[in-house]
Amino acid sequence: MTADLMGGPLKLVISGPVGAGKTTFVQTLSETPVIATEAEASEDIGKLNTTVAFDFGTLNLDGQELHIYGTPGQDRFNFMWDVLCEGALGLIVLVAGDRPQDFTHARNILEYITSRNPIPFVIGVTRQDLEYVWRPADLAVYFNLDPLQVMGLNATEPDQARGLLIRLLELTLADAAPVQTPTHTFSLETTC
Amino acid sequence: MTTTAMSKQDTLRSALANLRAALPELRGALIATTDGLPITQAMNEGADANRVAAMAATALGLGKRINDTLDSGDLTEMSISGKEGQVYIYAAGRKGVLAVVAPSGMNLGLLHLEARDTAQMISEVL
Amino acid sequence: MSIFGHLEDLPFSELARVTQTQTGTLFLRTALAGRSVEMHLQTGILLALFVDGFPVRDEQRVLTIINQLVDQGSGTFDFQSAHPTQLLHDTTYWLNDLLHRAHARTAVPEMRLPHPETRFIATRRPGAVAPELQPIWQRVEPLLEGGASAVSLARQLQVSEHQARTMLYSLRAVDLIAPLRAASSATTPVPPLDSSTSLAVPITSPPVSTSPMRRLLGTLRRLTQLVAS
Repeated sequence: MTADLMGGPLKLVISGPVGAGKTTFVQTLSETPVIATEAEASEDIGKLNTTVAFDFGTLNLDGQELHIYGTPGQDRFNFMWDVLCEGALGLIVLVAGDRPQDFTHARNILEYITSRNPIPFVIGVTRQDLEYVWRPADLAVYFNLDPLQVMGLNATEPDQARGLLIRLLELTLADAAPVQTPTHTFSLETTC
Repeated sequence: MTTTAMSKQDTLRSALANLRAALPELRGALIATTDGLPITQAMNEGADANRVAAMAATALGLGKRINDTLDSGDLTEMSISGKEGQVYIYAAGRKGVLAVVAPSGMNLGLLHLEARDTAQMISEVL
Repeated sequence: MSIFGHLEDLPFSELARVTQTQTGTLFLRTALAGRSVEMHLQTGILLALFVDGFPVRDEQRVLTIINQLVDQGSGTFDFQSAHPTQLLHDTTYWLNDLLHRAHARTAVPEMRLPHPETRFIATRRPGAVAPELQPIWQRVEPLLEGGASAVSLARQLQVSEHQARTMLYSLRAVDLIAPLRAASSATTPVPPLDSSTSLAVPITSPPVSTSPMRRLLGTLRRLTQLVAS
């Protein structure tokens, strides 16, 4: 492997059902203003606009550039999920913890993408600031995933958004080098 | 459905029918919302209208974004050309998209003339 | 309150699976044509069952209720955690076993069916398959090697894609099968429920080289610690 000091940009994809908080998450994580390709929603989705191509944000950490893409949520745009996941370091699937009606859809999105793309992923359960909300541990059971792979957050909090990305990287790197045991697992789950 | 809604659909349907009549070699024409839902379609058999509607909306959304960034004014149309055919995508008002699928070798001048007229008509209905 | 919703969105069989790790009372407010159902559960064991406040103890009757919940359960549900001592201890049924025996006969809404191209493989679940599911299991199981999707099953079994998706749905609902991920080399796609929480999660290896990711991780940790402290 060549010793590239600072390689090209790394790519991260954020997907999930409509209303999960993808665009918000990209905005929270991004240092640059997010470039959104939205259109007026013709259906009642609880908000005015919906993503039709992708949301694009960037983060530059110590010279390492990270490109963040938020996908559209509706099934009819599933061709974009494939396009955007190509060459990505990982996928974050967000699901709103106060919208159990969207859990099946979130699972379908996850399965569709991961059955076609060999991509590491974590699940982010948003709206954890609410009292009446599903907790990540229970969603881990629903998704049939290891609890470490399902993390809760408030998508408007930068530390929590970064925490989810940290978890993705930790899990991915731990699997890539099983001999090394990380010294700690970074956790940002706040207790109320 | 109100009488107004019925005639809207009828107007759109006849607009597409007229377009196809004026350009018989077309493989298909479709009107969609800017968020990717088909409104009216006149596609050849085997075409997935839902898919085309979503893709046209994505392409138009991207095109609009690029146009905005380059200060080119409101996006009017864009094209995607392949070896055996092309898709032309026209903005139809603020909320509509007209997608026209053509084989290669078509008279583009005539196509744009007819399609732009149709797009204008659609924008008045939507 | 953190387990709640509508049975129309989260069907009973899936809800039951989620409650397997919990202890408390599951309230299904209008589940059976307006009748309420209350279940006292302790990590997968049904301790008590009430329909409109009346206890149901007999195995056949319990099974019928479960069957009805799987088939036609509707309305809101919520789960309230409780200490085992706060629960009634009327019966002792393994909920999972009851579910296995309740086979969904009504049509499943389209949006709940797995994607036609999602591939499934067998999970490492011990125990026999309930007689109600045998016909489906016998047809599908031999074809699961390497992953079977509704598209491939429809072709191999000469059934419609919709039927194949429904079959996969039923098998998945009782954890007999689970989705296969693209780059997974493991024989099981998902860890069993009682797996230890080590970092040996069956997550796929990244397609990008790891050193830029390590640097990114290091920087993110420092950045977040700085702000959090």
